[in-house]
Amino acid sequence: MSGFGAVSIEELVADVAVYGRLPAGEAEQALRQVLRSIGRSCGTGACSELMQMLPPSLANELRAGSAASGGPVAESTADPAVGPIPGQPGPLTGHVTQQFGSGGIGADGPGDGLIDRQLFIGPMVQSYDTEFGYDQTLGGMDLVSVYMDDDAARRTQAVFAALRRRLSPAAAEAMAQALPPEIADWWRTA
Amino acid sequence: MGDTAVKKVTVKDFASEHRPTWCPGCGDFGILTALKRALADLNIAPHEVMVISGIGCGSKLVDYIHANGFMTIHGRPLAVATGFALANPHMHVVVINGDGDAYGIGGNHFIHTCRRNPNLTHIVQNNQIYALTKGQYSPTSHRGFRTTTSPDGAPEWPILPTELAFAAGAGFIARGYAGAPQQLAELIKAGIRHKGYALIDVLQPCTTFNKVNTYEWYEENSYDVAAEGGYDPADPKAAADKVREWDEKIPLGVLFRRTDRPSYDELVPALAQGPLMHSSSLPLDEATFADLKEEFM
Repeated sequence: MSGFGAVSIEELVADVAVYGRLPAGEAEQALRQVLRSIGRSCGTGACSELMQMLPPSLANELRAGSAASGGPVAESTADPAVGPIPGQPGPLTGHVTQQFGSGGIGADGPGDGLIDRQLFIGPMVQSYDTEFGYDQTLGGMDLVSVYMDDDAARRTQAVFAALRRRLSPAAAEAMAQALPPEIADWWRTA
Repeated sequence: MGDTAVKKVTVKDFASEHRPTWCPGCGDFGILTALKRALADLNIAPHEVMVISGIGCGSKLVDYIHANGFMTIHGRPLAVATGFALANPHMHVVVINGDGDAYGIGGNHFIHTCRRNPNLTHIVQNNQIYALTKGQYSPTSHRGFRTTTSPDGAPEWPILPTELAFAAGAGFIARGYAGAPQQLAELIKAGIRHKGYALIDVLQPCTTFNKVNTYEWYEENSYDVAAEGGYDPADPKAAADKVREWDEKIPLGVLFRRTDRPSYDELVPALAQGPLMHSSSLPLDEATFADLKEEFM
């Protein structure tokens, strides 16, 4: 066991605010968004120690993200309604019978292993006001969110720093293993 | 034949040398990942697939996947893809375009492709906005949706693509979510397996121009049809209701599937002797072919 105890929202938000140089409101928003993305990506199974540490409202963010991820899809190979792929050998004639695993959207899922860096930060980027510059060719303001990439990375790393220092080394490594590769690097170096 | 002779395609086989220019966090990344995963899982090699797109942010996907590709003009990829699929039925044809390209500019092609049933898989990146042109309301934007060109809100009612596809006779209708690429990959696989036209409408968050239909919004407002239990996409009466659902909750998964209609290539008399690519009657000698190449390539 970790020997690390429960933590309050206020403590975590204060740490994120310091690490990310953010006002408290934005720090809490980043904290909640990153927890959701962890849930989407890893599910709740790989973060049991984190779940135990978090206050209920933050643990629910993890659960909500996990629920949105659905899960692996089971297939049968006996559905005659779906034809084979021309020229393709092997067991490719199945069809999705249980489309979104045991739960799907709205149930607790095991995480989505195909979520990458972009989808991990996507919800956070989308929540920012879109930046703009004047572009004569467009006849006005050119809205772009390309500048949000670095900002999202910085905020995510601030949240990671606040979370990781409170986990046991074993639990922290388990999290790293479950995160998308580039995100795992952020986690390990946070 | 032993299994050892069968090639094994991996996701890395589809890696492109071009880096996506999509906005950070764009849902198109999830769709690209899901498509690569689906093709690899089905053991379809890059040279065995043709990806045809229109114009728009998402249509740039053709550049970001190592496969045969053709970026057509706005709204026309279904027409080009239909011709391609008829000429060369050995290729897996995947059409990918946005909601504006598919349901707006290409709306007429969409309707007639549904009823015509060519053998192709159609993935629509439905972010409910024209994003490449910097954010105008699209055919699927909610009524009242505010954009730079509709500051008082979109005055029109949106179309519901799944309902329209059902009415037009599509044989496979599914809806995925770009934020759940693993699930989306399974839907794409099911669509590719389907003989005939397969529509996969994908809810795709636009991080820059659509701040209403966000990742959270889609997740809170959608559900998996398989999770509710008992839903049979092969039941047309049940599907008629399912494809119309949107306002309360948005259903994800395979919404409708019928396999009793032959695909278009089986119905065209001119193809009774086989596909065009095997025809020896085409007046295409080497000199003519060289001229064509010179003109178009």
